[in-house]
Amino acid sequence: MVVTGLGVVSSIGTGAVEYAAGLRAGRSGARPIGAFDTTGFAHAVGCEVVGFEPRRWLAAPATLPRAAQFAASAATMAVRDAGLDGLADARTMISVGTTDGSGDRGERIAGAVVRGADVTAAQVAQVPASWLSVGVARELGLSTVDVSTVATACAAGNYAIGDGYDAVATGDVDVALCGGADAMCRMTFTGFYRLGAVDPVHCRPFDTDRKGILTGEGAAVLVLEPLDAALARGARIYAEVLGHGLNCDAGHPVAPDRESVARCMRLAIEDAGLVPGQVDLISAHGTGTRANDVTECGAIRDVFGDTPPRTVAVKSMLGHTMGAASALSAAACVLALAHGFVPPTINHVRTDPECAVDCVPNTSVEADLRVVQNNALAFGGNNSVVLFGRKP
Amino acid sequence: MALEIAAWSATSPFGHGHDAFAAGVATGAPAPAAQVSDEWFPGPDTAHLVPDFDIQDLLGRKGTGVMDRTTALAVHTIGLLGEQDQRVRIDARTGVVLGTTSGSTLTQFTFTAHSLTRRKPYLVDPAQMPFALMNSAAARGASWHGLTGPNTTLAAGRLSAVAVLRYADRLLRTGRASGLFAGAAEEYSGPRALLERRAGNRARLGEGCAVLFVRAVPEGNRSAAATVVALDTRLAGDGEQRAALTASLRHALTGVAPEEVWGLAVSGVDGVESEAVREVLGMPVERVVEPSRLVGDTGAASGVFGLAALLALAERAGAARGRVAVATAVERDGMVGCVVVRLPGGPVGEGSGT
Repeated sequence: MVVTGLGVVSSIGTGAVEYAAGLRAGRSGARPIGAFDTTGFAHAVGCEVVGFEPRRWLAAPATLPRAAQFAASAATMAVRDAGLDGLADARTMISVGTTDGSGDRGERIAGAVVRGADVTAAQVAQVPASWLSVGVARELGLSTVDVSTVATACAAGNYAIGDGYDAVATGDVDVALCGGADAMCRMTFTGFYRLGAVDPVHCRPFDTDRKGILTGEGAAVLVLEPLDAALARGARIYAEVLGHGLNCDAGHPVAPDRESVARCMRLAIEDAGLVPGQVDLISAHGTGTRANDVTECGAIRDVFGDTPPRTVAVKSMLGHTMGAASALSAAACVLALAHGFVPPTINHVRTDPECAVDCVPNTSVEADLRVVQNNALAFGGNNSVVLFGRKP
Repeated sequence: MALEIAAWSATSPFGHGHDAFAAGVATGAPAPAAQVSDEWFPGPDTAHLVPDFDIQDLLGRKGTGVMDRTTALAVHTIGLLGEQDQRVRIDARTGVVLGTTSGSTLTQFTFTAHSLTRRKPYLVDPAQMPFALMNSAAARGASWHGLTGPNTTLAAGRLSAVAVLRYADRLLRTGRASGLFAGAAEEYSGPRALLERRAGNRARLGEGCAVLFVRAVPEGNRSAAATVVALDTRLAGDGEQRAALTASLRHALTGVAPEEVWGLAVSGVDGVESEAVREVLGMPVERVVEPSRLVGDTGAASGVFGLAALLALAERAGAARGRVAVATAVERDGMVGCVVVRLPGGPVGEGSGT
């Protein structure tokens, strides 16, 4: 199974070409947050998408919450990028992962009630999280389509891609449009801020002086289809999807479990029919919090031994885009394989000895990659790992 | 499809567990309702609440201090199902797949209100944060009961039964899970009432959680509550939900003779679903159950409650043996869909849509 289309909305570039350029250049999406009122916070830097023009891709964006606008725009870009003229005759699935869904819309309603202001029917209509996938189907004009909004928090993008892989592999569908989307919201920022897990300046995963995440937003959608179908229609192939794994820590509400994360990586590698030594690059969950980075790197060493493959964190550029994070990271893996480079971990000064990975600091490098692993961890212990390979 | 429902349980306005729900559905009379009012929706509103549902009494004090009701309903119901039924077998690949509308709206709104009204905007309770996320019910359900397999939350609203069964079926066919607690939960709260009323929903609201234990259809004989033979969803254009549901039903019921259909559960109260089924079958269905009239509009849980109601009635109805039951769903976002199950006790038919 192969990836034949990519759609991206991100703080470092929109569209596959711009996004790839941003990754290669080590661009930073960090800027002062403008999505909500940050009065009273000592610092408020995030990775917002600015200048987003949904009308470039969508017929009726005004009825959709921002995260669904991101998802539908990315999906439309991905379908065009794949050269799929119309999907009306194909059995199609749309799966969009998310952490907050339309949480930004819910917050505005909560705010209105607190202020004693009215709440309108148009406002509440945007709240259900189902819009993130249903909105895509509506914009693409699809009716007989399997839609899922996968709400497995910050690993949701990988969950959606994993289900897309299974849906195509089992023959349930011909084409899967899968990825993730989230819009900046006050709740996520405030929660991480309260936990002391928001960096005041920029996101620096694996660095000794890392101080946490930056919240971000965006979307990425991948088009998956069987290799023979892609070849038959002469499609451009970015990369192959080799397999995936998913499991649950069934433990602490927010702290990741090293043993369980390692088990998830092993599940994925085994599913792909590989051994750990065949993995050339890991795109880590790499949030930049103390707990995540140490636990994840420990799990990586448990699986790969003392000299693991290069392990990079694209969140250094994009911030933590929540449900979109592992989808944007997957898009980065796919572009790295297609173009032969490793995206850097930016803002890096000194690697934390407790992490001890080659995170490709600050500058991307050319590399002949065959297999790339995409890690995703979430609150609640929802882990998912997807493996991509160079196009066959 | 290759999915069997081995067992089910529910926490509902009729009470706790399989038997309380089955008895309530059998009487056909609505569960008790109470007047409710809170700061988010002064109302007053009348709702069907789960009786005797004190979270700390039921689940203990550890980890429950700020637990939302949706999560507690799921944790409790998964526990009831695991204890009640020996057909529920758990190993390292046993997982959880739950449907939701948008998680616990009350937790999200409360968290936001704290940020907007307290002395500093960051003086929120960080312990609330995981419960504000939509995956809380499935994730806590797993940790409470040691379920380390796939753990997924699908935000499908009233289409949740169809969505979780379709997703669960794939996990079982690919061998990623050995068995799954598949269901949905919805809590009653002032914020939910506010959103539903402003959206024009005038139905009496309810709450609860229904969970099915599903596994791959085995070789050979084994007792199950039902086998899922087909499911289907469509996205309808504006004002075309009935037509879309009719098309969905025609597809899912391919190969099923009209007289084979014994039972129907509908998600709404407006008759659209019954009319669509009647149009497709050309005859009325013998037994129609409307969970929303019994336990209130339970949002994401409504479809799983519908399936549970059908299974509960079939357990007591000889006429249901070996026949087919259908649960339909309609959501405001335009999605429609249905689940078709074959009830136990007779020869398993070959006919199915997908």
